[in-house]
Amino acid sequence: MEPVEALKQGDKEAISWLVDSFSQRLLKAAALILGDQHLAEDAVQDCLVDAISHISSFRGDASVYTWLYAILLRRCRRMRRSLSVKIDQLSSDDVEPVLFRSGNYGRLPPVEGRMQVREAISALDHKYREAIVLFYYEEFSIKEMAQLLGVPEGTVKNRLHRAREKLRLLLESEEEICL
Amino acid sequence: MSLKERLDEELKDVAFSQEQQEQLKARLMLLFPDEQDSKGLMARLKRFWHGSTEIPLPVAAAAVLVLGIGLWSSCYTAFAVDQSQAALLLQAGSLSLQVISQGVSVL
Repeated sequence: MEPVEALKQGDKEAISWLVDSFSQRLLKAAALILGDQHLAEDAVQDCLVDAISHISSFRGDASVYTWLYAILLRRCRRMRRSLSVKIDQLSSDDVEPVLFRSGNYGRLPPVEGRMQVREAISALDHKYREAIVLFYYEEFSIKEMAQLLGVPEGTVKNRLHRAREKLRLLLESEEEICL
Repeated sequence: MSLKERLDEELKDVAFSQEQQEQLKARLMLLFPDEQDSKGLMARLKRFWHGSTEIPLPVAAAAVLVLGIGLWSSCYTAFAVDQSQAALLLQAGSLSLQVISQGVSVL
């Protein structure tokens, strides 16, 4: 039986397959988009719960990963919106250690001696961050990105161009990275 | 070095632990009712009892209104005032007051 069909019938092995096959990859993507590992863990868990709850709506037009990724993106956006509301309610002193700050990245220790790419990505605006992660890290095509982000292909290209420029500025000293 | 390779290197420690994965699987499995449990009248009743149902506010308001109208039509007699009975009660009340006041004045 196909794993998705098995999932629809609540097969426990299919659930294990889903978690084993996609959770780690989704976690890395969410960590890049949200800029925090703990938030990323929550986002991936919620994403998989959403996916299982709405498995009957999966039509098979895209791959399972693309479908999961669309759910993850929505989750990350919702999380970012609710966090920015909370951050707005805090004083500036409280905000500093919270999120979206270069160097504050969940439990990860910084690599000594050079600017980390993930730090540079965290410093980008969220729409540019999504574009960079989807194109360079997840290696989605422009067409897939347009579908995932819900914008025209031209907008995706434009965002990608701007994101590349901004990232290049942030990583000026990193000559060995090909963008 | 490509951006992907560099990110892979930086994110190599970002991973769910085995324990977290097992917890996640257990949480996802809870979303499906056990096949054994889903059968049987008692199991269904139990699920219904522990479940919740969302009712739209206009429907709930209309139901309350219909209930109110039904109750009023059957119970309104309890609140109706019979004028002759009220007059008799008033008369009886005034008579008893008169008797009491006479008793008080004798004392």
